[in-house]
Amino acid sequence: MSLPKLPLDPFPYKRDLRSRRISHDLADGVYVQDLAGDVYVLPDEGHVHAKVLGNGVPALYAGDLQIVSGEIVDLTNLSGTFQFDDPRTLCSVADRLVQRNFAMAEGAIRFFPMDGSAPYIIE
Amino acid sequence: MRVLILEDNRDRRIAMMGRLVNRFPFLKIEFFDDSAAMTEFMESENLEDIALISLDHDLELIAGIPGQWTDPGTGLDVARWLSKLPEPLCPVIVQTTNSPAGDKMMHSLEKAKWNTFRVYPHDDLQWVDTHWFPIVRNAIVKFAPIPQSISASVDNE
Repeated sequence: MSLPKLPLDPFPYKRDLRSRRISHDLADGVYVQDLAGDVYVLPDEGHVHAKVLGNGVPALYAGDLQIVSGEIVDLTNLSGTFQFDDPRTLCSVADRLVQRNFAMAEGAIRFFPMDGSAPYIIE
Repeated sequence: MRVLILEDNRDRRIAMMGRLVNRFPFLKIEFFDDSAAMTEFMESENLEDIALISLDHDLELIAGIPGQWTDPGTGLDVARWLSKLPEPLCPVIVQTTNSPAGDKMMHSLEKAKWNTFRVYPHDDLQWVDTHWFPIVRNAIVKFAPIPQSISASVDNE
């Protein structure tokens, strides 16, 4: 499992007021998992990973995701702000979302190694 | 993993680069402002790691020595070159305000069974954020070159 990470952009952005725990009505966006394990999301509008939790606080994991009709069709570790590079923790994020009654499409968990090598589909 | 972009507008390049680096920090981004340079590059390279190609159509003449200009060709030249490859490599985005030319590029690529997406630039650079990047993100996540041998459970690592 990966250790908590501070955002690579050290500027203490305020938490975006739209940041909220993930829910079924989200279509797509970026997510950050806080130290309590809760997954928070924001609409995908550019440099927003640092504003999901805000104030430069560390995260357990981060990436982006797409949800179609309540089903997660892809879940990744894509975040330039955090650059988490551990596939096991991505799986634990997926498990957490399944526990919150999200359906996970087949092949949805996609891990992108930060060295630029070929991405994995985690079954 | 690499992305190839035919785009000669500096501001567009900066906007595209900013969005890509922010989400795909490992991505190698190659910009071209000349269609012949782009096709020569592709002829000389192993293209297995190309995740996406994005093509503008209209390109500005390139200044050389004083009084001399080079014709950079168009995105249609690249689309036609791609359509002659034995098989599609990756998704292609056509981003141009030139509708007739964009349609020709799409037709050429679709006829050769490339996975294509059309983006119409508008509102200065806003379209890069609102239209171009979401397509880029989804295309790379969905179609990135994933070797079968590593499409496995992390338990097997």
